[in-house]
Amino acid sequence: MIHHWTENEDLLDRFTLSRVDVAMRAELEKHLLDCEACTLKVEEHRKTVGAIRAFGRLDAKSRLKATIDAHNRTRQNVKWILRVAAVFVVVVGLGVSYKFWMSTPAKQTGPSETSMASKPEMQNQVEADVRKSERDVQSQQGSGPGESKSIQSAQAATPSDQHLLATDEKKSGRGADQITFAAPSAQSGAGAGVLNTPIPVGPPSELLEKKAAKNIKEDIRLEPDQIWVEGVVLAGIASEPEIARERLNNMPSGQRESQALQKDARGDVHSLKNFEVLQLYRREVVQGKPKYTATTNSVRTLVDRSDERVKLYLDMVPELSEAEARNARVEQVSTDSIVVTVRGMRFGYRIPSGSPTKSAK
Amino acid sequence: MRAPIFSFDPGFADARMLERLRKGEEEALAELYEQNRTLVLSYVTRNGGTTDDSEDLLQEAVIVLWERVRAEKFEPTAKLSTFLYSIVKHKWSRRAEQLRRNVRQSEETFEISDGDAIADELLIDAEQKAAIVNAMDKLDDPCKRLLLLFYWEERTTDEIARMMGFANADTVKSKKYQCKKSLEKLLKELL
Repeated sequence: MIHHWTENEDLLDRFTLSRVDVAMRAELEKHLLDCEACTLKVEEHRKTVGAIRAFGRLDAKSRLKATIDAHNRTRQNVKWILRVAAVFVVVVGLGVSYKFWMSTPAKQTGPSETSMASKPEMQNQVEADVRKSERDVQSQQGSGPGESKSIQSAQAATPSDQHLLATDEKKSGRGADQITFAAPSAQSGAGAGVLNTPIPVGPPSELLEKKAAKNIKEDIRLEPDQIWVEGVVLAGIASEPEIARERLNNMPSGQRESQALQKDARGDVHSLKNFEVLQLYRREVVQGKPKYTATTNSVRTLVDRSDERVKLYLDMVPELSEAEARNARVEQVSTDSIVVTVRGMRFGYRIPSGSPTKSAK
Repeated sequence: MRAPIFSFDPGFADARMLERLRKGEEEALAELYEQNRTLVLSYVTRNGGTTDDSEDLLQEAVIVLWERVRAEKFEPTAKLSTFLYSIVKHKWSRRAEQLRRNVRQSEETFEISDGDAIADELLIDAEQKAAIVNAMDKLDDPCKRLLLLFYWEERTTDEIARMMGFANADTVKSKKYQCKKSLEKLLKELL
């Protein structure tokens, strides 16, 4: 039995802060039952410690609040900057569109002195268009609607009209029935002859895929905290989830439940669980019809664990933009497994456990 | 070396967070708060509270978690978000109960761990809170820091000696005793 253990400051602190084991606590409490002065001392000490801790908590709370407020202010500022930037982009966009629209003969409602002065050819063209429109009306009245534009082209009354149309045909490399500069009509539709930008169709270019493949095979010297991690494609149909579902349903169950393997840089093999392995389908347009080709169920990426956060280099996605990376969704599916969803594709990775700064050395 | 495409926390989220809390990284507290804000806001507003209530409760819960982690009294049997959520629920039910009893005094709870369980919860009203702040502010800065390091952050005397530039742990103990006595005196005057 310790005689008036409350005289021992260390023991008093340990008792109050619950730093004594159960047996010791029982013994000390037993003494308190027989020593009223000791009990009072403990109570007084407990109140003082309670006050210090209450102060600590209040202080920590106010600091936390200040940090949160600072974060919120930063976020608000960023929001405002983004709003202002968005308004600026819209205004500039409208301005550019207006200028573009005004300089387009098909849409021009009135002559612009500036553009006319700088583009005499355009002025001639507009005049020709006006004359042509008038003739269109006359010819529609005479021969009826439905007459083809090539006929209208052939009927160009003045030499300058014919020259313009011929020039346009040369420029566009198309036949006379593919009008590039024409007055508005129901057949040409809004903006016809203005935009000639090809709309990209079909699968990602081979060039991009080769580039991505090159990146994967690129023999870079690994830093001590970097490892290659093999992941699996869980669902790889960009914007075609229904196709993925259909393919999945048609896939033999053994294949669906097959277990993927992953290797790290040292060649250790770990079984990868918690993932349902699907195939990646590449979408191609062949003769106007989409075609889906199974490609791979394995993707390799570089993991960098040299600081607080693990960095993942998504080489398997060609030319992933920063915005796409920021919008990528990462789900934790077990203690060491993650699923990354990016550009409509899902990839599963099992990151070998261990302290990020001490691994792969 | 190529630039990283993006970085993420891969699944050691809670473990990493606990490590940061143990190290005393206060920035981690704000992150923890942000991560759980929506969940707590949803719970508190669903149960008749306001946005301010939810913010206040979550801040308290985060501090409680920090306190326990630092004191090595936190056992990660559940996710951190689950722990915080349960603290918020507990605190909110207590608050709601007090409102029902028309207790108007602003209340702060203070917990001292007893073994594995929370034994004592000292209720400190607004007046007591003001007195404590007053008393602590009357202490000189080294005293205040030393007492907070020892009793709030639960640092060892060796650590404190290193942090505050004292010769050794015994010097810290001696200084701590004097500071505590000064505080006791101030508290007796003010409370």
